[in-house]
Amino acid sequence: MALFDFLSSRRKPDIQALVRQGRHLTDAASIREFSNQVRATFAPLLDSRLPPNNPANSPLRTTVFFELCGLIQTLLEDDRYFISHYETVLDELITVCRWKQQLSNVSPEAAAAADKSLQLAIQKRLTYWQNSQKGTHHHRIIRLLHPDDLPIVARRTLRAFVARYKRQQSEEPLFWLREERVELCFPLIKDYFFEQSAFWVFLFRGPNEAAFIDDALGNVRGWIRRRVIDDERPPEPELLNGINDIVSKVQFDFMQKVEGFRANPDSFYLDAGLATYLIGFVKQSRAIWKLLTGLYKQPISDNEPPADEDEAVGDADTGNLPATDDAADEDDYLYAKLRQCMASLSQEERDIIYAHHDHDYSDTVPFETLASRLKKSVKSLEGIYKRSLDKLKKCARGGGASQHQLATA
Amino acid sequence: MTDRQQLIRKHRQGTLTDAEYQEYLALLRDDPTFQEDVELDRMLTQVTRQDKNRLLWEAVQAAEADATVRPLSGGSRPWNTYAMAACVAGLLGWVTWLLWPSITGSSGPELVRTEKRDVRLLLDETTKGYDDYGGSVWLRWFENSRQQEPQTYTFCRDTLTVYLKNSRDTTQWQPVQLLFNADQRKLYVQPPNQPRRLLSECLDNPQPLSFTP
Repeated sequence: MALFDFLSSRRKPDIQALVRQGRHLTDAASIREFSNQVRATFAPLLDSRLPPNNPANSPLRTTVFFELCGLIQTLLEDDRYFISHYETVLDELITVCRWKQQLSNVSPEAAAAADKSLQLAIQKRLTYWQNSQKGTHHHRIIRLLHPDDLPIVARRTLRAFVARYKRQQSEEPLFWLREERVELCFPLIKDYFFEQSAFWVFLFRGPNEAAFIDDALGNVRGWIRRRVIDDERPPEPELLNGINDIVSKVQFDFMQKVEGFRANPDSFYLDAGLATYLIGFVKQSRAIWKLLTGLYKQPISDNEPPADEDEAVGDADTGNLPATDDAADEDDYLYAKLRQCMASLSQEERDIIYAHHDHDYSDTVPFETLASRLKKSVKSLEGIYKRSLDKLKKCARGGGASQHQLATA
Repeated sequence: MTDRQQLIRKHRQGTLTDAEYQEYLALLRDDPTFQEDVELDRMLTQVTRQDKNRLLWEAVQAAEADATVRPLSGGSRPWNTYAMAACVAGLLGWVTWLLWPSITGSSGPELVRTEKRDVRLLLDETTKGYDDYGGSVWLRWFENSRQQEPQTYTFCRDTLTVYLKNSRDTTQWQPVQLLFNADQRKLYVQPPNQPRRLLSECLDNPQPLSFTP
């Protein structure tokens, strides 16, 4: 058989080259070339799992190739498992891609229950954080969870992530390979992972650990400010008081409802970021309408829209988020506006922003790493980045509350 | 990088200490420009991620479409080239017609799902009371509508592959246990309330699995 060894080694795909290629995707052409290579390499293997002559397999095959590209891009530098076990990884990926495909048709609860391996991976990560000796705020909070809490928090994290995924419009690779298993990409679920842990700790393990609520309220305050304050003029004291009143009222309402959640936690699922949930309260309150229309100096009369605040909050009590579709539309509008502003930057400024943010579908790439690649000093990169942010902020402000913001609020 | 940007970055990574988190929250509450920086950072991350994902999605879709429909290309050629090509195509068509089911695998095995499942050790009187965790194996289910048996299997290199006539039967595998005899190095499957079955290793063809899941 040794005579024919060269044949088998020829058939074996050069995964290592593919992994190297996946680390250097800088533009549309390199992304296209990479996806063609991934397809050429894995198509024969995928054909043996999902025959291409079955038309029903076509969308799933596209999803698998897409996820495979994302998975290869996010492989760790020292990962050797994928190279030696790519067949097993592909099988696992097909399974989770089937799960991903059904997300649009099922509830977050059903989706979370449908794949135990993804939930177990989150639970394992919680355990890992609990056992870590790191002194960060989130490590400390997660250490407060009891062993029985871990599967519950894992399930709630998965639910919240699925609910977010169902609302978004764009395609996104969801999976990566860690510890020899395919799991949800941690940067995508991280915010929910921290918030659901903190929420559970706040409900049952440490009622004073309320920093995550302040965090969400900070975003609520920012959301209101962006809608009611005109950057051309300094805000009047009454307007600032109005903003503070709304934030205080939202906080008060939420804290009151927490007692109900404690009594019956299964009646409430935070299937969104807490800030989004609280903004839902604000949107349906009469006070925000008065701020937006400049009527905040007048007392509220009974015949003004919208409905009474308490009625609006009542909807949120069941865990059904108020106005979530609006939130998605609004994000899309803000992203489109930001893209317009980015188009006005120089190519160099745009390249640095893209290279710094989410270069490989994980976290930001430090300027120290970028310096050698972009052949610039760290100081220079930081300066250009900061200047770009200033330009974007100025452009994005664009003269106070727009008609769209008024409409979506 | 300024302290404020550091705070935003560490907040995004989830690596703030308690003291830093308090500083972050105070800035978020009291400083509108900081709030603006936080929001811009979040949006930039989303936009850059979305843009790259869109390019990748379009590239993958285009590659799939190219693979499905490959256009004929080339300039003008002499008539005998086309005649030769027609003959070869005819011959290939005939061979393909004969071998079509085996070439395409039409309605052949299709991967339904895979999972890693724990194996329990078969304990005897001398080992009773010890932890019975015996490692794990990959379990793969394929649907094969062409097979006669409702269920067949292969077991090789720590992977148990089950071929089902009907893919819905995967759900009935949930209560089935995998048991390992460490002395004899043998793996068994044990359906609930049924005797355990020994699995043969690394045989050429799938073997019938004599229980109805």
